[in-house]
Amino acid sequence: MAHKGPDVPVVSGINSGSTVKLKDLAPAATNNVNTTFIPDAPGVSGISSGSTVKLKDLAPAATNNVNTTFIAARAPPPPPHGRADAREETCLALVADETAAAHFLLWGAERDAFEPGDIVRLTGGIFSYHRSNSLVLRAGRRGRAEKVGEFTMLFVETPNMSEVKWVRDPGDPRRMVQEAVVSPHSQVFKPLQ
Amino acid sequence: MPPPPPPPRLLAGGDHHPSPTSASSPEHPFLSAHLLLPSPSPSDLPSLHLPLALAFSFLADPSPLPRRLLVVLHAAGGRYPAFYHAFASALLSLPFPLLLPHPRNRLLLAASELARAAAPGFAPLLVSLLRRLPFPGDARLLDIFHEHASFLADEEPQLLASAVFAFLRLLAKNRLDPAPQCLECSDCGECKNAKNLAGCRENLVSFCASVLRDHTQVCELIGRDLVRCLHELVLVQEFHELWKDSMLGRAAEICRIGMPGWCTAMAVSPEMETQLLFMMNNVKWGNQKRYQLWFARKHLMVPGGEERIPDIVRFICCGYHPTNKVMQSGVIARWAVIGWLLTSCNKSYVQANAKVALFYDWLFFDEGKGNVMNIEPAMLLMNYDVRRKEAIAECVRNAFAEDLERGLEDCMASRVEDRFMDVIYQDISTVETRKTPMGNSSW
Repeated sequence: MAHKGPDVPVVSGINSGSTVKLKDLAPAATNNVNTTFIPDAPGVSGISSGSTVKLKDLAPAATNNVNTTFIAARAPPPPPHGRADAREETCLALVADETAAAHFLLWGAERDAFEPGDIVRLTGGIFSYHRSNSLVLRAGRRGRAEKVGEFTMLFVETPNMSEVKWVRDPGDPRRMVQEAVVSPHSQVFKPLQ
Repeated sequence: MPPPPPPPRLLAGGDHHPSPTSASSPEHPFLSAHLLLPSPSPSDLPSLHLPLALAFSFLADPSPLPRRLLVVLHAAGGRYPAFYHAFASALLSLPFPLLLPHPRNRLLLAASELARAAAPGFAPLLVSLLRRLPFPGDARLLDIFHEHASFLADEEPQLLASAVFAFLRLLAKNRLDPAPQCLECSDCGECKNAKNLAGCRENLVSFCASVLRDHTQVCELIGRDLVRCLHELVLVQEFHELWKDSMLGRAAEICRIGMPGWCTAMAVSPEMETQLLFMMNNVKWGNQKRYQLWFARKHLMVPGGEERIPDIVRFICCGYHPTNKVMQSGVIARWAVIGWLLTSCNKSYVQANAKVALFYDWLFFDEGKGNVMNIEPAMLLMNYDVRRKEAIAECVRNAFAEDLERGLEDCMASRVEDRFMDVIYQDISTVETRKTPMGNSSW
């Protein structure tokens, strides 16, 4: 093959089209699409089509479509040693972004996966009541929480969306609206003095 | 037919890190290129994907490194002038702390190969590795500099001076801690034979001493922080002799040179720099505590971490000068970050060295040439915290008293003493007692 310089298409010899990005695709009856892609991570695609939200926009709902990014502001204490069922336990962490904070429920291996200061992206999460009426954000069975960075994110600890009393919207019973603020900040994780 | 094995990984990460197939993973572009060019060969030279695909194979292929990869590297570098740069940039784009042991050792091998060929782009790669010291397998870095010291002295003096500064700081008390051997890659000969600098301290000392002796002018580029480093190491026989024989007469002259920008970068790791700059640019007064806790847990509460505080102080004083806009935006000030760092020193020698680091530019301040922003944190810290003033004064005085005994040149000693009197023992009553923007609880 003659060298034509570094801008020769990677898949040469099949057709003469240049390489395009997926965003530039348009329907056509010609077979000249040269592009590069790899499949998305399994388990993430298809679970939620919701757009990314800020924590202050969370409202309890029974749907796992919460996509958001937050910083783990406070982590739970390390799991007790010598307990066989420690892996299966859940625990709470305080997470926050620049608009609000919330309690995040860590389950199983998630307990060791994140530490304070980690920036976490939640995809397909759910914000709902868990056991004794506590309102928590969690990945759930079908959601995914990934560490995408650390430290470089501003956050606030007030309001805490898990410390809000919610009631059904009289106008639209499918929606929940805020009735009262139980506490301006987390009652589980007291603010640093 | 069984499915082909998955491609090897470059970065550590379990279920809760982005998968390499996800666009947000730093591994993603490497893996994409690897899937297109799984086995780079000279026929792939024109491909735009070659730098990333070659970098992937270089880092991930099992031991021993296939010779054809070196052939492709130099063939591409010879044909396309920008190739070496693209290859080095690809290696630099990977988050070093997350690299698995095998790719990390291969990265050092790649740096060594680029340095051997004096390929464009090798200097930033070596600087980046120096800033990450200490890490497992770091002795190869010393080998690279040892092998090419004379060449670097002529062609890349700043790089050689950076290495001397980084190694001297590493020799400071308790900085070098035996790094754990990597178990993840224990069956690979390359990784098993990788040595750590903690195990070759003598080689490190002899390298620094020989460069200081043979390439004194290069080392003087470091400026007054060279004297600061050597003061901390004066009890090491080799440096003591060097100090008496050749450095003593030049110390006053060297101390007139401030810390250059490339040297401030060497004082902290890239992760520390990002986090400190985020704190001082974005985090408002009153919100800093959590960030300080995270920073301390990550960088200070680890073996050799507390000993880095004096260098962090130097970075804040000389490496970051906020604009007026930032200073008026209500973010945490440099002096307050340094005040917090001083309170984080549990070891008395670290605290003494940190205070010396804070006042170093003040002591050698030249009103004609010196940058007042280098000494601003020290001035403000004294100003805002009068209660501490005497304690700080005493500590700095004691630290310098030792230096004076160690044999600073007379004229320099008197200069230090005069400046010390000016700076530290000015009438406390003339210092206005101000409150911090958030009241008295400053950090």
